[in-house]
Amino acid sequence: MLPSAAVVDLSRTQFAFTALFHFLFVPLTLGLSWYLVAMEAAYVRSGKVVFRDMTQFWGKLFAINFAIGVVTGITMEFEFGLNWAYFSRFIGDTFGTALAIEGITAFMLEATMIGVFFFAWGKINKWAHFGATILLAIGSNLSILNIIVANSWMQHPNNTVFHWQTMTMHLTNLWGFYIDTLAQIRVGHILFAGVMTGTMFILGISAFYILKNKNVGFAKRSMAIAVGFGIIGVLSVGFFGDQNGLQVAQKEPAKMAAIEGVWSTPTPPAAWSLLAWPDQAKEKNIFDISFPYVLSLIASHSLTGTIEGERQIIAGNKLRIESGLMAYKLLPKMREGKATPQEIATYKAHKKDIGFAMLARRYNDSMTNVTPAQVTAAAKDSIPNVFVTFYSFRIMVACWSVMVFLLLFGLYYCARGTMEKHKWWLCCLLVCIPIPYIASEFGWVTAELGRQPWVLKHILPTFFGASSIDVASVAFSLGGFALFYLMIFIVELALMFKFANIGPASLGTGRYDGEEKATTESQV
Amino acid sequence: MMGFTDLQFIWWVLIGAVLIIYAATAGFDFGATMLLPFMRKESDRRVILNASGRTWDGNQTWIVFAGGGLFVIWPAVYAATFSGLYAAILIILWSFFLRPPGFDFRAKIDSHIWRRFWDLGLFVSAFFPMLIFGVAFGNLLQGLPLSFSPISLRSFYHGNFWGLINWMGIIAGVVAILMALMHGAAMLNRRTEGDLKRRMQRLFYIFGVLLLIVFTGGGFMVAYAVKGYVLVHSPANATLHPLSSVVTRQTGAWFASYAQYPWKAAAPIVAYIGIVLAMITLKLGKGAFAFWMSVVAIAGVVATAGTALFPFIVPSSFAPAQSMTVWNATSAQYTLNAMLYVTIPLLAFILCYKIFAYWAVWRGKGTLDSKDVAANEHEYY
Repeated sequence: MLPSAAVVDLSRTQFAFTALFHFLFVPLTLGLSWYLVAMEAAYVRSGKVVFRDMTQFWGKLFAINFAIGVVTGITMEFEFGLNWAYFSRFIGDTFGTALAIEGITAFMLEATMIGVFFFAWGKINKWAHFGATILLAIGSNLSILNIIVANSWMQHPNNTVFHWQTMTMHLTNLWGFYIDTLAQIRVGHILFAGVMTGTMFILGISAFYILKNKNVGFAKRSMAIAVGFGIIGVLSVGFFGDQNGLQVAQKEPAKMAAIEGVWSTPTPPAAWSLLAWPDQAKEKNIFDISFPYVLSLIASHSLTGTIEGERQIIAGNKLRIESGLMAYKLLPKMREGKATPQEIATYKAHKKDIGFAMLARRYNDSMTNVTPAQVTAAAKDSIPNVFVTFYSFRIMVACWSVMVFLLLFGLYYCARGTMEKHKWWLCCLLVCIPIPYIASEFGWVTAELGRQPWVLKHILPTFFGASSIDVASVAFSLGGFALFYLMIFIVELALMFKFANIGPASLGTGRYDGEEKATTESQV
Repeated sequence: MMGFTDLQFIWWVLIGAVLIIYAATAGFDFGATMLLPFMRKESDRRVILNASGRTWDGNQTWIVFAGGGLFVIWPAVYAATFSGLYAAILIILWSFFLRPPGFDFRAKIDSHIWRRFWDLGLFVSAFFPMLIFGVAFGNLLQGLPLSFSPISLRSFYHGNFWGLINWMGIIAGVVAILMALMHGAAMLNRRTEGDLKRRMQRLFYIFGVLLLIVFTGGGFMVAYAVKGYVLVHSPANATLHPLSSVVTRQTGAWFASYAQYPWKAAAPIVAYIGIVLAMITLKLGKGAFAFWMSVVAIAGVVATAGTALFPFIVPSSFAPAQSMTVWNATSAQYTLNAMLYVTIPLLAFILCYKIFAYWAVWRGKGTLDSKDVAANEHEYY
């Protein structure tokens, strides 16, 4: 018995909510950790106390953010088992390896080193402390590497085989997991997205100090480091994004067509829609504003390439559902060991489509007499929601463009040494702190909704992966998560605003604006 | 590649070891934060908070290791228990939510109500997870009402949260809480000074004696009141296909299995020796040694529960033939082997940097009092 549609929808909502909430904290941890390394490197090399203060102050904000990252991260690990039990059992052998390696390498390292970072100042040699900070950054970033490797495998499963005896995926090559092209490109994309989040965070808060005319020297030094990192980050995130597009066009045609709102395969050179109104029921765009040639350039970096339209994909999937059903029907007999050699040969011929057969399970419980109408309905489910995917992608790219624009100005002003004089630019930086967060969130929406209806592409449909539990449990937990996360979010924002507002004076060194001058430590 | 059954056994040992490390490290943080709200002076509370706070994050992470290990090595166990024990797991998870803010945010606002709120939060975040871990072990000994569907092997749980509340479950829960309290007192005795240190010594004796009594009582329950399971036959190469074992149930079967596997007896013996030695060495004023004996005691207690179940991981009370055992609940051979090669060097690396981290944060006199906290007002928790 499959879980009811309500359980599936609530489980999906809960997972999306908790994952997106978690990812409000991840990119800042990723990006800021490298800033802490850079600032502490400046301190150990030059010995200037201002750099140590910078490390400690931004470290304080890092810690507030990190605490919530930990809380919401453990949720993710538990949630696979809680709400996606069938999926978890199905992929533990494969996906589980990357997730476990994440826990062993990354999480453990960063969680241990954060204690050293805060409690060992002055207790150990400054080089040893610097080493701990580097390990903190490596730990944070190894974490996302493993998670993205696991997620990329869900987008495009390879290095694994399906075993009907156990109804699980078996891993064939662990290293292959990590050197997968799609995974590596997406890791690059997300690492630099983290750098961008750290950059915009530091730039925005530093701009605030300059606008309020306090700690100007401290803020300018922070900004100079951030502009340098930021230019590299924003260009790299764009480069990896573009490469990711090429990969998606090749490996995930249904997602690509949804991102670009393409319903029928266009003849090359294909036009690209800047804006459109995709209508899922009619399988066409009600209007679109398009530019000739551009889509071929985006999807293949040439004028001769094209992408498959959703209608053609649906037609192809219909055949695959029919083929998969041939294999699926034989499972009970094979389980009993009564299948003839001929039937086993049939199974082998059609087993690559067995996941498509599961799509029909929604419409037919017994799976023995699936009607053509049910196959058509299941095939229509086999593409993602085009409207949401189309616009999520465009919101992400628009945010990126804003950051490019701001950073190019930043580079120019930084080179001329006039950063503190451009009020409008500083105001823009302050209000643009949320921009990289919006980009990351919609990037994930594009990637995850664009993969639907699959939780494991072409192998396991999302609704099949949910736990067989009752609606009340999931409804209750979703409400609980919403309430808890809201409270945590309010507390974390309040603390962030409080400490960003006090600024480096919160270190209590007596060297910064807004505190009584102390003489505990002399200026170096 | 190594032999399949060897790998299955090694992973059973490794996952057990990780759970023991979790109980022995996060265990003292749990104990310390359970004592926290009962201290009258704010200065004492801050000493406790900082004695535990500088390493708590790294200690807590062993649960992520254990969770990841369950996921990859015993996917069916992870999937069936987490979805089956939905409410219990949510209680653990939601209690954990209070922990990082409790440590990180408490000292950041100087208000009595704010700080007392987080004291309570830290208590909840230690008490409920420990209780549920114990209750879960108590129920594993009785089996969980699990079954699998024949074709797709989907897991179903035929019970609810209230079914977990029974005498064996409660006794195991109390054992877990006393264990954490004893260990927390041992750690605080080692890491604090003066009056607080003396109070922790007294508390250690109280919790240690109570633990001895309840742990022994739990043993009698298992011997005379709990229906255990016996694995009569397990099909060869039964990986992840938990439908065809031959299993019988009888009262006292867990105790009877000690005759079949005599090495199991080492676990309770180690537990008793650990507790007694910790008490003696504490009396002699050897705080650090007593702490390590407390670690040994915890290893013994956790191992007693884990080894009693062997070769079962999760027996099924609903369909005993579908019980998950060390031999049928693991992933395939390639994954077990690859994960072993990855995990062993990484564990060695983790050990090195853990030693470095403890050394770094406790460098100097190695203890903490209220003057140290006052001197580091802006850095400490």
